[in-house]
Amino acid sequence: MSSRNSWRDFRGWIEDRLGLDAILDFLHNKRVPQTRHTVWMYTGSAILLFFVIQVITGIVLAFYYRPTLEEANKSVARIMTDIPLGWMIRSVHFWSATFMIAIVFVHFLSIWILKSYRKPRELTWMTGVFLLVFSLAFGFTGYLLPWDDLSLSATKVGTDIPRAIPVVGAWVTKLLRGGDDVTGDTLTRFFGIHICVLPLALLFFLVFHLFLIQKLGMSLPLEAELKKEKIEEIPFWPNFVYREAVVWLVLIGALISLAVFLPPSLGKVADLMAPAPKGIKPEWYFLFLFQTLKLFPANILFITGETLAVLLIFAAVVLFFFLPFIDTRPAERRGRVIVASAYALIIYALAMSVWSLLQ
Amino acid sequence: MRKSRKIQAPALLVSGILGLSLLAYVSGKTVSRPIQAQPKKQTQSASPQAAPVGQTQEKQGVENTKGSDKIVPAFKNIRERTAAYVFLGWIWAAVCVLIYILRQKVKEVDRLYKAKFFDLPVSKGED
Repeated sequence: MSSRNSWRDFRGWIEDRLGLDAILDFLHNKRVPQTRHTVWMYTGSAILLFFVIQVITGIVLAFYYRPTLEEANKSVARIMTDIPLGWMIRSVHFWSATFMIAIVFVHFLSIWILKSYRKPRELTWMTGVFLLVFSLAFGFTGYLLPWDDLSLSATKVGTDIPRAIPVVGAWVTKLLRGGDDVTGDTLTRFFGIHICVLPLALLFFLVFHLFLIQKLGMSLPLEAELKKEKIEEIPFWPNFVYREAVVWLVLIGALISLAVFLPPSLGKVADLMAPAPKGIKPEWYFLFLFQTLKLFPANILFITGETLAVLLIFAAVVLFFFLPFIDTRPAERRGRVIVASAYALIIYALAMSVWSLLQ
Repeated sequence: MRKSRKIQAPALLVSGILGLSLLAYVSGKTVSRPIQAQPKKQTQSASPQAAPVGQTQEKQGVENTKGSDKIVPAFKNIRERTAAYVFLGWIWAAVCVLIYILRQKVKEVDRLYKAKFFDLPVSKGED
C-alpha cells in the first residue's frame, strides 16, 4: 500500500512539473485506423527501433574506433578480437543497418502504392525522401570505415560516379573525397559525416516528419476515403503500441539471431597503391543502381553513357521527390499508372540486383 | 482480466528466473573471444580469457592485420557454440513469453476500449 502511495506521490510530483498527463491524453485520443493495410503502419516504428539500436551500438563502437589511415583497420580488428562482445556489437550495428534500410524501402513502397502521400501529406512524403537519402548516406559512409580493400575500392567507385555530372561533377567528387583521390582525409571526412553530420540532419528531419504525422494523423485507404466508409479505429496508446511491441520483439529476435550466426568479416587493410580487387560490388541496396550504370555503353551520341545514366537517375529522384504533386488525381488513370510504376520499380530493382549478384 | 493476470505473473517470474540464470551462464562464455583469424597462420592468442583492454591487445590487433589475412568471425570451440545457442534459445523463449503477455494485454485493452473505458476522464496524479 505504501509503495502505491509513493508511486502516486512521485507521479503527482512529475505531473506538477512536466504536465505529462496532457501527452498521455493526446496519445489516448490519437486514433489509428484498423484496415487490412494497417500492417504497413508498423514499418514506421520498426525503422525508429533500428535507428535507436544503430545509435546505441554506434556510440559503443565509437569508443574504440580510430578514424586514421594507420589505425582504422586495426581498431576494427581490435573491436572484433579483443573487446568483450565487440564482435557482437559490430554485428548488431551491421545487421540493424541492413534491417533499417530494408524496412525503409518497404515503408516507402507501401506509401507509394497506397498513395498515402496525397493531400495534405505532401510534406510528410518529402521529409521522408530526405530521411531515405540520409539512411543510404549512412550506409555509404559507414562502408568505408573498416578501411579494408573492399571498402576502399567500393568508395573509389562510389565517389567517382558524381564526376559524370556536367559542370559540378568534378567538384562534388573532390568535396566527397577531401581531395583528388580516396585517402586518409576521405576516411576522416566520412567518419565525421557518419557520426555527426548525418545523425543531426536525420534527427532534424525525423522530428519534423513525426510532427507532421502527429498533426495530420494516419492516412485512410484511398477507397475508403472515396466511398466515405466508416473505418474502425483503435487508440494509439495503449492498443496500437502493444501491437507494435509484438513486431519489435520479433524483429529484435531476428536481429540478434543473424548477428550471432552471420557476423560481418573484416578484409585485409586497404592499400592505396594496390589495384582494385576483381568483382567489387557495393552493398545490396546500391546493387540495382550499380548494375544500371554498367548497362550503359561508353558513348551515346554526344555524351558519355555514364553521364546519361547519372542524369537519368537524378531525374528519377527528382520525380520521386515531387510525386505527391504529380499524382494529383490518385483515383484516376494517372494514379493507376503511378501505382504500376511502383510495381515495375520493385521488379526492376530485384532483377538488376540478382543479375549483379550472379555476375 | 483477473484470470489473465494470474497467468501472467508466474509466466513473468519463470521467464525472469530462466533468463537471468541463462544470462549468467552465457555471459561467462561469450565474453571470451569467439572470433579468430582464418587461416590460422597469424599469431592470434588462443586464450579463452578476455585480456584487459589496453596495450597488449592493441599489439595483437596489429598482428592480426599485418599479413594478408581476412578476419572471419567464428566460434573457437564447442563450448562457445553451445553458449551462443543457449543465449539465442533464451532470447527466443523471452520473446515468446513477452508476445504471449502482450497478446493478453491487447485483448484486455481492446475490450476496455469497446466498453468505452478510455472515454472516462483521467483524474490528476492517480493510477
